[in-house]
Amino acid sequence: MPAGTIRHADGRGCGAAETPQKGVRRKRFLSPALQRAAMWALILGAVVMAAFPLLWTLATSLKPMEDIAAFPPRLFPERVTWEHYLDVATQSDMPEYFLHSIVVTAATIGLTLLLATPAGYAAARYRFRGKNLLLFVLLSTVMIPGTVILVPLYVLASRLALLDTYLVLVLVYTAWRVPMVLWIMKSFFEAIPAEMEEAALVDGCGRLQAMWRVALPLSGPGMAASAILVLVYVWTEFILALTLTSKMRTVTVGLYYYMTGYGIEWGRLTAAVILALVPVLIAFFLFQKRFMQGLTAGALKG
Amino acid sequence: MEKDKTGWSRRSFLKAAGAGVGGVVGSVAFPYVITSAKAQSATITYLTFLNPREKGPRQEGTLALLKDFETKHPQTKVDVRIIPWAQIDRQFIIEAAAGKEADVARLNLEWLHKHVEADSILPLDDSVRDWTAEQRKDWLLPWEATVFNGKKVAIPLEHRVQVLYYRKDLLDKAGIKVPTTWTQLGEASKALTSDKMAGFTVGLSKKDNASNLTQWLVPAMWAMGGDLWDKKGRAAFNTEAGARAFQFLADMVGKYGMSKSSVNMGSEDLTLAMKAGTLAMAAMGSHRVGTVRTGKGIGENLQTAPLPVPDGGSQAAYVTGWFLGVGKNTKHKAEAWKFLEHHVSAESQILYAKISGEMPSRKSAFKDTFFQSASGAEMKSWADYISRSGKSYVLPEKFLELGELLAVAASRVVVEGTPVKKALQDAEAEYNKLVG
Repeated sequence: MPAGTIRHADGRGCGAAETPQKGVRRKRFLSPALQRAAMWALILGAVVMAAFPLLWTLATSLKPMEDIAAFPPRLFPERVTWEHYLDVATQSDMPEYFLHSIVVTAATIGLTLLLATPAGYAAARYRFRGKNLLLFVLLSTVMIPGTVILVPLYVLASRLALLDTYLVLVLVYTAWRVPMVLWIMKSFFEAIPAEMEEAALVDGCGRLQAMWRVALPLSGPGMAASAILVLVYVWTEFILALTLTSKMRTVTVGLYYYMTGYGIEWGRLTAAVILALVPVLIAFFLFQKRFMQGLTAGALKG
Repeated sequence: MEKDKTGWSRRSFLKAAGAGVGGVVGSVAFPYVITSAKAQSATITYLTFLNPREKGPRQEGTLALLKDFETKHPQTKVDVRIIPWAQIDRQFIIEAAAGKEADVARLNLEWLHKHVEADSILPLDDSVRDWTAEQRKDWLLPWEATVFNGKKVAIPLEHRVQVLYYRKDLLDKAGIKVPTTWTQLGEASKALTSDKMAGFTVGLSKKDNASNLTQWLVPAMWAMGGDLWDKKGRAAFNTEAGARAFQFLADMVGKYGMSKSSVNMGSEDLTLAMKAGTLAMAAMGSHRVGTVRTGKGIGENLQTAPLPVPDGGSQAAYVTGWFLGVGKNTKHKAEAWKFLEHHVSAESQILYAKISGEMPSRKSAFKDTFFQSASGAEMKSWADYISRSGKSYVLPEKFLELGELLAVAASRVVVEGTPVKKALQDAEAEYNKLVG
């Protein structure tokens, strides 16, 4: 029986590999070639739908001002200009905002993994009273929208003299992401056979050592997936960054400045958007393999 | 000269002693002088959405004013904080609640009632106590327009007024005069509408709190002697005037070629359409003129005129703009006031207008010869429109919600064909329920 075949209760397989009953010729809706063509058409359609807005953004960023709103609209610019990129890079505070975003994102990823990974390990390996309730309560905090606690957060940060600092954003973002990363790491650690750590324990390692030497290296894909998810969240977060900072702006807040009350500055906005995508794309391409492993491996147990 | 055994003459000794005493005195006094100088200088925080470090006429105008202020007041430094324009009022109110607001902020006149309600800005009565009657009359909007509960709470920095944007080249080509009434507007729109061109559009979308629709409706109601809200802030649009205004919108779609897609459009969409050359006329704030003129082939083909009025109605100008508010919790009240006073002076407003193209709020500023030139004459025409037809108003507490309900009513009339009376009745009931 080919891989992936599901058996009926009477032992017969079903699906594409099912053996037809004798004397009955099973009609196919589409031939294999047509099925492949339909599948490719769907995939291409999805890619075009996902990529087209990005392509349009890129094209707009390269068009001169007077061509951006031209009618009929053209995807490819008649004349390419780099003036919007130059303006963003040299005539705005965006380079500074990029630096802030990079620092906050890196620090949040580090702190989140530092806190959530051992917590996930403990949740996977230890049994204690109230564990499920605690985990559920932790996860439920993720469902609280940021805007609901915006004003109390602001007042608290103000009283602690943390407004407009890296620390306030790192702390808030970490608090927001730890529950999600904890659950991701928990499922990764649960997928690692406990026997491997038991072997390490037998060899004289303590629990922490077993986690550090055995479980952690095997949970690399999970950590990579978590890091990417935290990166995307922090890099694109807007309302908290806007409220808790005044000078120490991040990239997303910087993008918003191009939506002025006199009209949206489409050229500079699209140039800044493309530039803002670069670090995320670099991180994704660097960790792509680990990320995909992380997304898929955690779903399968045993 | 007599010399002692060390080789020092009396003169040399006296010189050395004098230098030594001077050095001692100086080393004691100098830090005191510096400390005193530092103690006398203050740094105020200015919250604005115009980044003086960026390229652009308004940004450059902001920088020019800041430099001018610091030149004239060297003891006061200005620390500029930038925030997106759509968030500035909310952010200022939040910060004021925490006692952390900026010393001075550029705030929206349409939010003035919310700032008063939130007690985020300092009344200015003490500061303007010595202002003469002439100084108090020197504003495009009446002095009382920014007096709340008997207190002067704001001084306008710059204004914008809802005007009719029109493509002069297209109107000339079609032999159409600039419309001054709704009937003329409708006929002009119908004549100019084609496959590639919309004649006239009002943005009926809820975008930006339905600002394009409300900024059309408010002066429309005033022109007919009515209003959208009454003195208690309750709905006042379910009247003959309101019905006429909404029927006009329905007629624009049914008879005069306005597209039903106007229900998805706001000011930004109209700006883009005019820039793209696919819209011949629109009603928008005067501040967007510069942006629209950057469109290919637009330039000076775009002109402005007072909003057309309902047939038999009178002209009414809806004025908005920005003001400078002093933070309630400021620790630099004197410096903040000096900053405000500097920025609203006629001299500063002229300087800013020349660089930024933004309309001053002060009548005396328009006496400058700049406003007789080609660049300034348009601003002068807007100021004259405001002086003739501007009206002071206090927005109701739920103004933003009112706009959204009116947008829904307009959509029902234009798209679903709901009778105007029914749509207005439902909107009135909904709004009054909100207000309580």
